Amino acid sequence: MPNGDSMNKGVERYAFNTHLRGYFAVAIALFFGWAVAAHAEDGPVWTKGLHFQTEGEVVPVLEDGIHDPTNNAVTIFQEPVESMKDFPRDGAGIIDWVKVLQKDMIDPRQSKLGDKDMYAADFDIIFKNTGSMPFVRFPHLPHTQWLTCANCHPAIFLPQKGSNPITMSDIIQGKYCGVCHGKVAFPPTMNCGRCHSVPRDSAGLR
Amino acid sequence: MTSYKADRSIKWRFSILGVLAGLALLAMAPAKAEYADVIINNYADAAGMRPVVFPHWFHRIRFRCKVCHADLGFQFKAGGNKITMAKIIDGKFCGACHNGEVAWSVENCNMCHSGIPGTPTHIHGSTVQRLVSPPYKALNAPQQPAQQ
Repeated sequence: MPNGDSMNKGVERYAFNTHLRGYFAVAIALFFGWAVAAHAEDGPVWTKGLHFQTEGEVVPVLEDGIHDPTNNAVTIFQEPVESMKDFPRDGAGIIDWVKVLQKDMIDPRQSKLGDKDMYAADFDIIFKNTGSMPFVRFPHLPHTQWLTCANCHPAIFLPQKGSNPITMSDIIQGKYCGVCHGKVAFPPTMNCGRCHSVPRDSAGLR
Repeated sequence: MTSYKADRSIKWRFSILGVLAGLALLAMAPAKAEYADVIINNYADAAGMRPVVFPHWFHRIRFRCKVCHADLGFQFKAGGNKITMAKIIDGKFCGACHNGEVAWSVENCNMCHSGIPGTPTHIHGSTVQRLVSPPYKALNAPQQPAQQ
């Protein structure tokens, strides 16, 4: 046959094209598998580093990824899941330590030996330079039930209205409110409304 | 035509394999420690001890923040207090309570030194650690060759 070679080439090209489609299908399937797995493992950035407080999932101390399971002492630790299972949670599902304290579910000592009392200050600061977000109400009362004046003033916040140029960027980087919020207190990434709680009286920046 | 049909079945077999591989990855979710657990590894790894795990939740249901962070002088920074066993035995930092009177004393090495060796100093699950900075390095961690 005069056309033998070219016919064979056509067959090869046809086979390659069908293979190509197969590879595409495999690549797409692998990508979807990877995307689903990556989402479950990492998720959106604000859900990374999940823990009992945000998840409600029972994780024994031995398997929490921080404690060395070969250490025998770990087995006698108090389990956070059991100790905190009845604690009230906020809208984002994180333990609301203010409510825990106000409902007398815990009675943490106010000094090392529990023989001295603390002095709570009860006045609010309203921050109005919030762009288009609702105003921020800072309540001194729940903060001074845990902390004393010198914890925040003057190292973190100058004790004068308008003298602290707080931004969300600074807070997320661990300055100002971020010294505690995002480390031991509710994080700035999931609970906008707990701080931005006062409705605006004007439209604000657009 | 027969070869085309064979290719198609292989293709579907591969795509099912891909989905299964994805599901297998899905099952391997990482373990999760408690919010605000602090791993302190300034000196422990270099001294052959496990790093210290400080459970914030355990202490805050017993003491207000102010007791440690004002009265005992703990800074608001993971690894920022440069705590050593000598200071603890002198009654500073952890030693203010962990002296056998308020809480158990320093003989119980593994109660504090309970972390997985090699874990860097950081606050577990903190916003800064997740979004901003890589985990803190130990103060006396082995230097990288480029810096030596």
